Amino acid sequence: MKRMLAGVLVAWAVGAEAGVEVVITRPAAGEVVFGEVSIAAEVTSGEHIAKVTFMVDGRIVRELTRPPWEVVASMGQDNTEHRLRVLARTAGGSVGEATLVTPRIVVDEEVTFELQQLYVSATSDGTRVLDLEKGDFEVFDEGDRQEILNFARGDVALTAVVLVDASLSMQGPRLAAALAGARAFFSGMRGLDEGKLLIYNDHTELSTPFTNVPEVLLAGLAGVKAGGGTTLNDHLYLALKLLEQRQGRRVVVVLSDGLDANSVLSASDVLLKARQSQALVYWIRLREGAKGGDTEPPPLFSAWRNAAWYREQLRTLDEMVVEGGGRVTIVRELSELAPAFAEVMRELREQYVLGYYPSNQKDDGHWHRVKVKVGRDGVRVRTREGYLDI
Amino acid sequence: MRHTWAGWLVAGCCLLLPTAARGQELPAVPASGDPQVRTAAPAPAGGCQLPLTAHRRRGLPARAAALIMSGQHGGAVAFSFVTVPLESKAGTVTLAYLLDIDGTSLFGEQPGVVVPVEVVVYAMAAGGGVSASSSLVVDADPGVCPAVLSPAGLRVVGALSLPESEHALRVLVRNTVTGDFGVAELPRALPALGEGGALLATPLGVEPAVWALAVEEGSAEVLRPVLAPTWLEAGMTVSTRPVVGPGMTLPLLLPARGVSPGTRTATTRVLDRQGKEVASGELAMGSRETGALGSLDLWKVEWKVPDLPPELYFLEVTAPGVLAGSKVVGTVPCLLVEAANTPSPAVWAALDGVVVPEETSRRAAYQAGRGRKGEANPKVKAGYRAALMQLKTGGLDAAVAAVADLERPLLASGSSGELEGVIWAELQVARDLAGSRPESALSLTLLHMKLYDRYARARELLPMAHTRRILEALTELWLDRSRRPETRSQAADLLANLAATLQDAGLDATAARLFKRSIDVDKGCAAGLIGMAAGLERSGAYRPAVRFLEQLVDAHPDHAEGKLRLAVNHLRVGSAARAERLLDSCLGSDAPPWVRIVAYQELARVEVGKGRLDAASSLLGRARREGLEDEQIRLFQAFLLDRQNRTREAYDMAATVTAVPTGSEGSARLRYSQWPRDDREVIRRRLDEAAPAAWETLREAVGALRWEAGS
Repeated sequence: MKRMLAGVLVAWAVGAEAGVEVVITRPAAGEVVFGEVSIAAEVTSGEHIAKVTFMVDGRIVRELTRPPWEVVASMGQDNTEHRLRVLARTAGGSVGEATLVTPRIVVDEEVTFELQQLYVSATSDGTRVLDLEKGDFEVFDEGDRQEILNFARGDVALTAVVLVDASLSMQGPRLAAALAGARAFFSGMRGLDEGKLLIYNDHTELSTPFTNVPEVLLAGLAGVKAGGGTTLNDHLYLALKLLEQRQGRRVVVVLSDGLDANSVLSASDVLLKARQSQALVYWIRLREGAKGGDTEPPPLFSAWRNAAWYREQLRTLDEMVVEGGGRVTIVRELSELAPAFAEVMRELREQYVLGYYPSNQKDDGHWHRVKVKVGRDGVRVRTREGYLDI
Repeated sequence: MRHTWAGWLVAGCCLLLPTAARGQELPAVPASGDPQVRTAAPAPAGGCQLPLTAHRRRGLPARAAALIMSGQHGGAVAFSFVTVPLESKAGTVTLAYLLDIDGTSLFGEQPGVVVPVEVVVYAMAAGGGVSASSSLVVDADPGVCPAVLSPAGLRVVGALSLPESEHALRVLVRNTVTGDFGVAELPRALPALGEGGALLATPLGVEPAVWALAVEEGSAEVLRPVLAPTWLEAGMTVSTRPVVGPGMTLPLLLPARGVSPGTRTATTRVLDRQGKEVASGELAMGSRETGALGSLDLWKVEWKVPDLPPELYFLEVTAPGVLAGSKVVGTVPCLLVEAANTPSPAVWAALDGVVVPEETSRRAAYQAGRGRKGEANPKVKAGYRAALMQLKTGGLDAAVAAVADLERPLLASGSSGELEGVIWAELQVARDLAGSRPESALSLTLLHMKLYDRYARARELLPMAHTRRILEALTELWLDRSRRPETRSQAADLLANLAATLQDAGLDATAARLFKRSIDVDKGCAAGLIGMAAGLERSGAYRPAVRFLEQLVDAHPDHAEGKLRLAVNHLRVGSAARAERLLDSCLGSDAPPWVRIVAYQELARVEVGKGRLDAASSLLGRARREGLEDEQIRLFQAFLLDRQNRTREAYDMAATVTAVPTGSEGSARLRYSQWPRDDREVIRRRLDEAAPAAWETLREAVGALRWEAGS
């Protein structure tokens, strides 16, 4: 690999029109940016500020109507310049703006950097902790402490696939409650977020495009009927695969009332894919009226499955979810479904993003164990347990 | 063809049922003699009175003696038993035996009749002579005591006095009404004494006391150590066949004499049915209760079940004797299942290697009404005749409606005695008709099939249950009376069709019994063989499923679905080479598309298992070129491309998955997971074709009898 020298970087703040002054305070001038980046601006004016627009490379990221004037935007993984622009408009119509161009890294050697992004949920006594700073975190990759390059807190854009089981067992109020849950999730989407809805049984009943328009996601739901078998593994794999080409935080939210019955892929096949994709998987398991513990496999066998298979399936899917930093939620009443979906979205909105370049990257396909520590008593963190070094 | 077991039979999983206190009055039992069918007496006050009494009978009917000495093993009635030496005095041992009988196979569906159950036990000495015997009869009324009907069934406990030397026990259990029986031998029921008189009897598993109990009359006191064991928790009892899951820890009790008090460990061997050792280990000898069983001590131990495929095994425990260098051995059979909640029919079927002997089952004769005496309810008979007369006046639909109008109020009470009465009345009329026109029994069967459809549409469950029984009875009657050469195969089809209906309704045990009957009637009955196999497969009993599917493919080499199911199950039991050949044979264009799709998927899976991703991909590509479009084929292809690091191609393939149209029947794999239906549809078509002639036959039969009005 060759390494080249850093180039010249330029950033400037454009002087405001009379009455509105805008200064981009973050990222700092000359800072190289990758992945999810926090953009902050100071806006001062004698008039009331009606709207502040944040743009990246000519595209509107977000518009805010009240402070703090701060957003998180995705810069992607490419080593390139980015043009950040912040426009502020007052109630009286005055406009001010600032522009910042972040540099690219100019290097002697071509280095393929795989930025590792960790999405971290921090809780204390079950309540999410939202005021941690970059310095509160330590990241260890295979035991080696890593330098945290990127840090963002709060709202980070996501791309989510919501998988809803519409097999025969989901007939009637169950499916209605599940679709209400999907609506609750999508209604929490914001500007840069994108979603996709996949309703499945033994095949795909409904598949929407990726979009951030809720109406597109929710169109056609009225015609969906429950029936057929369950191909949870196949559709989990499909969701992970389709997310591959999407930027930013990748999330799968899957609702199922049972385990897989008819898939051609096994849970182990999906686990491999999940490890490659680094997506967060949230599994909402509907166990309405179910007896036995949460680890109890279903009492019935099927032509394709037996008890040993179900045990293995349960264990592997659980491992996949936990390993990826997600969560399994057991729901026992239909009325809890929509809140469960909404809670997932809430958690996603309140996560931290830590980015780092692994110091021990070898591209050898091995699993790297990752650990995140936080320097505050009583705070527990949950994030991805590792990644495949490929 | 009759299969031989290793001599041990199987207990099923137990349902939780209460046991009653001892010493309660029992229903009056008729004098001994040839048992006859009797209609149930009204239930005694307080309902079922347990335990039942197993009455001693002097002498032994010739048939029972012949069966028990015949050397046969198996039969239609499944049971398991274990022995416990209770007391040893002056060279004589009191040996208790506990016999657990599967209620479903013993009683079938016989509500409303008292069934004398015969239990005969012979103790065979090493030289082949009979040292002691016992012949008991238990009068069980499933209508009063439904507990005996469940898979948990009936436990009979008795005792024999034997000389203190090695004995095997031969046991016969027989339903004297239907004639169904089971025979088995328990080798080393009383083991030989070791050096210095040491003895290790059969290790005893422990289970909840859920069996409906029958105790040998006059032996309650002698049997107290096993009936009310002080060495067990309340509500627990000795198991005749521990049912275990891999990795679980099984508590056992070792009845032993002459084992050194300081013994810390015993060695274990696990043997398969052929006697081959498949696992070995040690177990720690826990606490010892001295003299808990007469002259025997009880050692409490725990055995860690090794990870083995589900099967019947024999656990052999060897402990050191008091005399240096001596040892004692005790063996207990254990049934390894996949999960504690394995459905009971699968537990029985998992070790059901026995085909009912070829002689005609008396159950079938009973169903056909042969040997059944007594006049049925004349009003019901008259009503049924009048309904059938509608064939001549109002046509088929009118006759069907008239039968339904007759049956509904009669069946409304749900009383088992009344239900049985309606069956008998309709059967008697059917016998009358069959006297002059044997084929009229088939016609009546078709008529009741129409009636079943009507009841099913209206979800009338009691009439549906009644119709299923009368359908079985009429089919057996037809089989009994018809002399046409094609009757056997057609009757088998009818029974298999009925079984499939039961399978749809979730009545697995009865469905299995009828599938088995259909196969007994016609060894090549495709619907029976595939239906039986599908039920076993769904219960996780793959090896028995393979047996039935091999029989199917042997009889019908071109049966595509049969070959596919056989291949899938061969993969499960480790016969990959056979599976691959079968899957290859399913790819021909004459096989249904769904069969070919699943075959391609499974073959691709086999290639993946060998690490040949290209070959797997190539197979799926071939499937698509043949026009076999299926979401899961494309998904599997995407997965394989991913595995080959062709991630962009994999993505492009995945992106097309949701665009594949799916038919109204769902995916091919879903189709496989449903109950087989192609053979049923063939049967239905044949019946539809036979129907017009059948109605004509019935009309003639009805006309020929010239029933008088009101008779």
